[in-house]
Amino acid sequence: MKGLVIGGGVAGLRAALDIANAGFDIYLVERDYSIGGRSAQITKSYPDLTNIKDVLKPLMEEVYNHERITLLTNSEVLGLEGEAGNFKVKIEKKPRYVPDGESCEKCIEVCPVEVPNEFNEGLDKRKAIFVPFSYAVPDGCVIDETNCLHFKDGSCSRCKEVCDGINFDQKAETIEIDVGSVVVATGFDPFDPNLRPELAYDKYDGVITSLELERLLDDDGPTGGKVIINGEEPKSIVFAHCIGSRDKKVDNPYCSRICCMYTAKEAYMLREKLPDANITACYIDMRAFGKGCEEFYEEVQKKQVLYRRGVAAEVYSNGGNLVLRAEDTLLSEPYESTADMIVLAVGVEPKEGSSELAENLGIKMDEYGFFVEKNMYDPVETEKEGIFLAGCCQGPKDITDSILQGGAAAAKAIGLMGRHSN
Amino acid sequence: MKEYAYFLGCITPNRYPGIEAATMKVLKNFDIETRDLNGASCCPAPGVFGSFDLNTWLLIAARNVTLADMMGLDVYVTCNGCYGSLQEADHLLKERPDLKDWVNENLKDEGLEYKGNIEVKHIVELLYDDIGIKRLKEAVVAPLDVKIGAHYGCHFLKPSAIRGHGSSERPTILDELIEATGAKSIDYKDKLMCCGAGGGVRTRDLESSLTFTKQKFESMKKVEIDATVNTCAFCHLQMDRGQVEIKEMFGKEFNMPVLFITQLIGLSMGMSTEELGLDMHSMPMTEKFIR
Amino acid sequence: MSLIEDVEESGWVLGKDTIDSIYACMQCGKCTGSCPSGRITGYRTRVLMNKLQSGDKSILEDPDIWLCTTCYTCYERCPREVKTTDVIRALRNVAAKEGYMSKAHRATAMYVIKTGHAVPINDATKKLRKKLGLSEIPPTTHKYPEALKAIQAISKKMKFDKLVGFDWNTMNLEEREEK
Repeated sequence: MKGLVIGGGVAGLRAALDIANAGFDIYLVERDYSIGGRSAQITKSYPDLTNIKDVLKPLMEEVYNHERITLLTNSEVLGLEGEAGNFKVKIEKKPRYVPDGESCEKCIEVCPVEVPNEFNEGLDKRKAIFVPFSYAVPDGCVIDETNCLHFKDGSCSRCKEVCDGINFDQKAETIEIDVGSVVVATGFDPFDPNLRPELAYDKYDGVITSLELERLLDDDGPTGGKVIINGEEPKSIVFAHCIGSRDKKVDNPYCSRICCMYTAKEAYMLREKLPDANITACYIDMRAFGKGCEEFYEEVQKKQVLYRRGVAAEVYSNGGNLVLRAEDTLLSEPYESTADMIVLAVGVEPKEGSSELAENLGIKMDEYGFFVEKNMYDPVETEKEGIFLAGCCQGPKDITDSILQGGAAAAKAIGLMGRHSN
Repeated sequence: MKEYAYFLGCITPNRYPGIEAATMKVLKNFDIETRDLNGASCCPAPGVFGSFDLNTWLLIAARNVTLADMMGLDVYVTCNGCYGSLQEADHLLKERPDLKDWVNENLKDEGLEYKGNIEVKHIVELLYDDIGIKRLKEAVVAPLDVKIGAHYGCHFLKPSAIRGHGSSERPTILDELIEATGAKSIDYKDKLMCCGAGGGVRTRDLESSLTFTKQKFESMKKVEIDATVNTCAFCHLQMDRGQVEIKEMFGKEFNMPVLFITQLIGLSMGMSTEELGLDMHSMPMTEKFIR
Repeated sequence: MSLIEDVEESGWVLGKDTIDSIYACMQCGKCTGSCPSGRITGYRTRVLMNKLQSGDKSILEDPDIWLCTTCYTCYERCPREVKTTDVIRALRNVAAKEGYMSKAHRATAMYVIKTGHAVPINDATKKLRKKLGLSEIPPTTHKYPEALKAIQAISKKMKFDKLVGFDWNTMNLEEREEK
């Protein structure tokens, strides 16, 4: 009997490996061009500050090389029929147009198209033929057919002229697979800060999201690890907690769980890069509940990151500088803080396309769009037997908890498939 | 031809009749007839009378709406305060049967009954929805080559869930109306800030109230505009007469012409400064606004 | 009665749920940080919500509660959807009942009882109206005495006259010590 894992982030990778290592063949379906998920965009984990790449890259490679794992990237689940132990799943496999591992990169040089690079949160550009990121798996180039001129109007085939391996004739195909169990691990999207227009994210370049800052902090990122805003190193930085979390106005009344700590970590890393900068964090309540997290929070405070109680109220520009308005709720005084860079700690939202997937799989979503577990004592099972949940698709959680839930979902899937195999 | 009842309120007829004249003249040009709302009173101001006694506030506001309801005509206003009171009262009465019964019980001595068959509209809605930007542009005979700082005021947009004109953070409706006259609407820091008059603050603490206004003007001065244009008679008073008061109180002069939106549109349609009552303002019009 | 019960009673036309929304306040300070008055005056929206939650009646005599211009910025932005501005209006009703209404405010109220308008017509404006081709007297309570009577009847029925200290004999405000 075979299993299916949907989503190749840390939760899905862990689940796929655990199920495969228990002796079951596994399909891993990933909508993106590479596995790795959101974690791949992040530089270091909290509170231990390990390089995520050092952990994630081997995990991705292990999955890719595992003889029991069939990896389908650029692919989507279209439908599911049957019952636990005997599901039939329809999958659309979209072409990459370039053979895996083909990465001489001459094709990239000649490609005339430039679009915002999603992996770097739009901070730089990529071509229509590109390598998703430095340690993408599968490695090598892919063609993004929505932006490629060949697919738009047939006007260009320059990449093909320099690379024989490219095959424009590849077609999307729909396959049907038989599986006994499904682990759903589709991850999350960050909150769109434009839904809080008073923070002026769309108005000023100096207002960025925390995920953008992750890309600036990354040595492999668009600036080679230099934190640069409007061509200069910022001298004064304000972190704004709870953007799109604990906020009924944007229909996200829940706490996103990770923002307090990733902000602390980003503040720590920023301090290392900018020893003389003023760094402030505006917070409502500090939620440092994970193992080692409270201690790390104290470390960050000792690095002279000023924690100021009170949420960011609004942002305006005073000629050259950004100004953040807020109340210091411990002093009961409203204040204005001048900054070169304001980092919005955006919250966790269900992945775009979750409702279609829920419909295709026949599982439930909560009012926000996260998939619903069976109950709090069966936290990785759904009401539909044989379909399990792992990671942020079930609700906001950090990398460790996502991995934990990936392992738990795998154990459940192994148990179920074991019972059905006998 | 469309017909509306015009709820005048206090500031428009009793301090800035130019707003009344300009509004009716502009509407008439677009075939919108205005009928008197005979016997209407103060709206009464939502943040002032609503702060004294909400029962009295609701009854008087409901009475004003009911006068229009009984004429069978939608009613429009030229003041955000009036809009705040009448639109909120109408909303509450439509949402809450217990309030409607209570109001009708108390209005029956005067022979009035609220049925809720009409809508309360702001002049901006008439200009934007009934007339439309396209027709406003077509009607321009004397385009205005001026830079304007738009002042939306508060109660036209907020609370947005009740007013229903979209987000209050990035409105464009007034800017579009301003630009339809050929003028340019210039962004400035405190564009969406309150003028400082509302909530009874102007009455109770003129200095604090004018400090708001001063801050708005300082922020407008930074972007070099020719005038400020508003949608509210009360903001209009605060910003026009307020400049005289600011001069007296803080010794600061801005000399900024203040126009109500229909006065600006009137100018663009070739009406004269006098017939729009612009010569009656505390702050004199500069040459660009003299026609 | 507790403070919140008083506010609920005075604010019944806005709804009990509207008033009780204060219990959702998490003290984040979005309101005060967004408040144009708070940048100028001692008015602190968040503190007010906190004192309402704890039932601290001292806020009734705090003059700062009268420095909200009801701009609704806090109301629009509150992440817990506390109906701040509505609550403040209802709270001021309670303060007014306790006698904390300024003389200037009482005078504004007096004009409505006396003329139907908070800002009544004057001779200068009559002239301007005439010049603009408008009726000298607007078609409001100024022109229709029976309409003014209706406003006065409402004021009596709602005891608004008592609240503001309106003397029907002098048609002016009674002398009252300002609290």
